[in-house]
Amino acid sequence: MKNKYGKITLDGLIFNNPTFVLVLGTCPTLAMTSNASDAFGMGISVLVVLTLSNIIISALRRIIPNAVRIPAFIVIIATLVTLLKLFLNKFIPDLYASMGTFLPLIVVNCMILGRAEAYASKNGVLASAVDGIANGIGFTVSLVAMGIIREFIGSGSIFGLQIMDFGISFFAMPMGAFMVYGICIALFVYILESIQRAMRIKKTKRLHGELLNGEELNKEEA
Amino acid sequence: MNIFASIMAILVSAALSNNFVFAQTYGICPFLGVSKKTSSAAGMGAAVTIVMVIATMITYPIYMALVALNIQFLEILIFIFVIAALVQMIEKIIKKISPPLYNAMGIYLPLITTNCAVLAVCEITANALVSGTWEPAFIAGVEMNFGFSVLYALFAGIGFTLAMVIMSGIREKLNNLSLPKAMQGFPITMITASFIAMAFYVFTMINVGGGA
Amino acid sequence: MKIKEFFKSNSFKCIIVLLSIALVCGSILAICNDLFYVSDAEMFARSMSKIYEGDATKLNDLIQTEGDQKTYKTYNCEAIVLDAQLSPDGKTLLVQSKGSKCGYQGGSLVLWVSMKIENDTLSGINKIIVDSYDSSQTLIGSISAEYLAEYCSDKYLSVVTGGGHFSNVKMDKNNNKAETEMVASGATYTSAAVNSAINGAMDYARDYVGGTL
Repeated sequence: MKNKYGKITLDGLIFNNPTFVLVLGTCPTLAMTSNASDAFGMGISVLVVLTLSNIIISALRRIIPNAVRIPAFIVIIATLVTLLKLFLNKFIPDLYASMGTFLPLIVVNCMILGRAEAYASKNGVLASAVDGIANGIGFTVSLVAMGIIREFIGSGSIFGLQIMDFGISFFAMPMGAFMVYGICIALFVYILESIQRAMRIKKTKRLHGELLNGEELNKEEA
Repeated sequence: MNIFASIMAILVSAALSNNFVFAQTYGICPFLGVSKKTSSAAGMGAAVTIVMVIATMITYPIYMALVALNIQFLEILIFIFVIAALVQMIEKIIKKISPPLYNAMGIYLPLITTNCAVLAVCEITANALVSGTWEPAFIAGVEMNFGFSVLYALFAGIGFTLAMVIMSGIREKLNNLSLPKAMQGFPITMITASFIAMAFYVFTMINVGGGA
Repeated sequence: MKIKEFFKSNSFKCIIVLLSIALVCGSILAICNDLFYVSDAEMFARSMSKIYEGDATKLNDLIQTEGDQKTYKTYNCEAIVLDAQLSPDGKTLLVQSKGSKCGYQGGSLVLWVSMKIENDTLSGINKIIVDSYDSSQTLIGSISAEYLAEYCSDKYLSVVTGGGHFSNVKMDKNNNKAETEMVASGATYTSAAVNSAINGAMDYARDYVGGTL
């Protein structure tokens, strides 16, 4: 059982990372990563909505008839996003202001409806919750990484803390977002594939080595 | 500002200088997913434009009613439901009236429900109407009302279609390149989009309505 | 179809489930809306906390109805003073001013300007913050706190817009035409609105201390 949750977590974080591997939820990724704090706020908001929607939908999966599945999911997600909007407006007004239109747009983030449809509507509550948290963390970490890169190159600061006195404002604009996102995906895919290849080679070598050792042992015995 | 200048200002702002894809980064999912061929890109763009215009026509009065009843908190719930129902209805109507048109763009219609550009245009025009008070807000220096909001939706849709068609034209050529494996697909598309966005940045220099 | 059959059919179940989900969601939202309600006073205090250190509830409201709002013409632009608050000791005047109908795309923005008043004269600007802006202006991000801080001085009591299209917004202290004048060169659609809003706020303050309101 432990292995199952480990696999869900690794899938959400790395092998099926929603931002860099599946390329879902691109609009907030491009729009909210001009600085690291906004990226973190957006990531955590999506994490909360995704986890709660996964839990609720998986709990209700036997009650909701198949024919009205999608409208029911949309109503639940829209309610959660409205709750988040009310909460942020009351307690974190700065984040509310900087998210602007992209806060209601969490409703149509393909990642949330995608996880509801592909995972939560078929699996148990606990597994769905783990899946939501893993995917949400994968999303948040990717966004914050891009936010740090763009904020550092764009204005020389990280999380609002001025580190160096330079700034290429190109990277704080949408075109910089497209550029950084493209390069990040390419790097992520390249590193992931290199690691997987290295692991495969290691595995074959080990198998090969065991075979060789076996033969040597056989020779010695002979 | 006279009415012609207002329309021009909205056209330039919605379609070019604040292009939904390249300047505001709305609707990136279909922009990446359906821009492999020019014909499908144009079909998707047309479908999105139609849904945007009709959705704005419906959600704008609804939002006025919500504000009058002081229940704006139902905004997201109602908007997304209106869009979902609308997409279903348009699909049925087009299938009935014009089968050739349905064949051309019918398959893209179900995808539009989760297209953030449509919800974004509803939110922008609704927020331009009221931000707590009845004071109308400005988009591109134009005092917004129902007619201008619908025009804004139309021009935003045209801008979206333009972005889709430009991208698909380039992507058809990109297929002939031999690229490193990690750069194929999304990464090279993103970097191309970055260059087109730089070109679109020039449109922010257009001055409509005098002044400066 | 008989009525009894309908009540047992799948479509009836669909309708009931959807309706009940919508009802539950709606009522939860209604409760939370009341719970998380942000009152006007709270919004005001929140917006004031960035520009005014003291207790926002003790400020004297100088503009109470829309009829009291003043419009000033500044350098081909228009500035509307939306709100004005006076501190209890009478030494700080806070003005909410909107610069509009000027610049490249007729962009507009709203600023809060905190001004010093000593011996019945306007003696300088303490602080300026951006309150809100035209949401379609994607380049508004270029207005930084440092840029606004350039206006804050005891010396410069007027700002004029210089030329220089397509250049970055730069404040030029040396290029001032008069002792008390500062030149802001560059022409993004926001710098003109900033200048006009600040000049409008200062005009209002002069009218206030001069008693010509």
